[in-house]
Amino acid sequence: MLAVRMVRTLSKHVAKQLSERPRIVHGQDFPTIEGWSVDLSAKTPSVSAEPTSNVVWSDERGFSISQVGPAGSKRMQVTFGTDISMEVDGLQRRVSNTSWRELNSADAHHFLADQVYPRILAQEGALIVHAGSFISRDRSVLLLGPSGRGKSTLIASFDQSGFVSMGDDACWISNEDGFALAESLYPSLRLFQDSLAAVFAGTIQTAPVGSHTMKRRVAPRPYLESRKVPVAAVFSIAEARSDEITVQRLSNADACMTCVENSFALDPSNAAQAAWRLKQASYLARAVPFFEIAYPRDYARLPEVRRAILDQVALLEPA
Amino acid sequence: MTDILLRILTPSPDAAESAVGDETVLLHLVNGTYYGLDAVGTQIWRMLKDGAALPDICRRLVEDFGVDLPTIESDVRAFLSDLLAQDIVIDG
Repeated sequence: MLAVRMVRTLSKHVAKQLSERPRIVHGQDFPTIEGWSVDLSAKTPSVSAEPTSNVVWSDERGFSISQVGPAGSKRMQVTFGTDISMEVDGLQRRVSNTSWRELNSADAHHFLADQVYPRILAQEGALIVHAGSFISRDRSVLLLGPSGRGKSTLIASFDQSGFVSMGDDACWISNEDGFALAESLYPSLRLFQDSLAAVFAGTIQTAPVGSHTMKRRVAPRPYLESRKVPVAAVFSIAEARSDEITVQRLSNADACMTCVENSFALDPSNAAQAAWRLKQASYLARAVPFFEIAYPRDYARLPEVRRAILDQVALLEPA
Repeated sequence: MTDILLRILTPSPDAAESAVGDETVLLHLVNGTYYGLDAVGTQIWRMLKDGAALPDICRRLVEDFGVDLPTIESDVRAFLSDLLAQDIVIDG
């Protein structure tokens, strides 16, 4: 009868109101973030001379985060594989390329927008979740999950069936007047070739995402939304389990932990920041219903998946 | 080995908590483990925070849920063993 026990750790992934939150600005070559300087020239000697102190987080895809300098330093290094790394200096508010090579425009854009800036915003107190989002009846629906879970394909599918997409990767969650609001960090839509061919009829203009992925970035959609939109529901995308499409409501505690699990952090080892993310996630879990959706990864079933999500959202709408 | 119910256990100072409705999520700030409690687990956690002795917690659960004491004690032992293993509660 007693006490559901659920244990997870923050090792894999780890609403403050900001009156003037920094915004990501999309320049011609690479995006910048307000209030921060970005130096993308090859490795700076002052940085290279100082050894990285310790890895505080890593994942199976080759991403890692290290603290630079002594414990308590506000300098973190975000690294992918062996050839892309950037240092984030929280005191100087500066992002520096610490790779051994200069980064091309696609790599710089991808790494800054998808890896570095979400973590900087999280460090500054924002709850940034790994989620794509689209709009249904003036409310946003978030599709939550780690990379490779199918967020982009599903968002593209909604896009092609007439819904307004907000983005496919990261959402800023805020709390205004008791409402949970979501805003895409930037209007991205990035897909592998097979998803592009399956979801988009005819040809579509794309550009490479970066040198280490075969994904293609879909040219900005003219109607991609970049405003804050009240959140209707969050769907956590589970791995495919069978041919069945299942939607299950998550308990508040499960919703909170799922949210924390899929949130960005610059320094996952920072206890105060972790506690703050927990508070923000619990707010979102209380404010918005969370569901887990599992479905077969079959492009032909995408209309059914969309219907399952929309039917669930419709049930939440006031009569 | 001493029965866990005879020990004095207290919430770790490294455990952060956040209420989500009648449930609670606990986060160990040092090892990064987080732990979800349902309504009953939340009730036990609150009594632990209030300094209640474990036998008293069990008796209270018997009264509240009408379940026999051996069943409650078995469940509470398993529950506290998990929290202890994650350092979310400590001997105190």
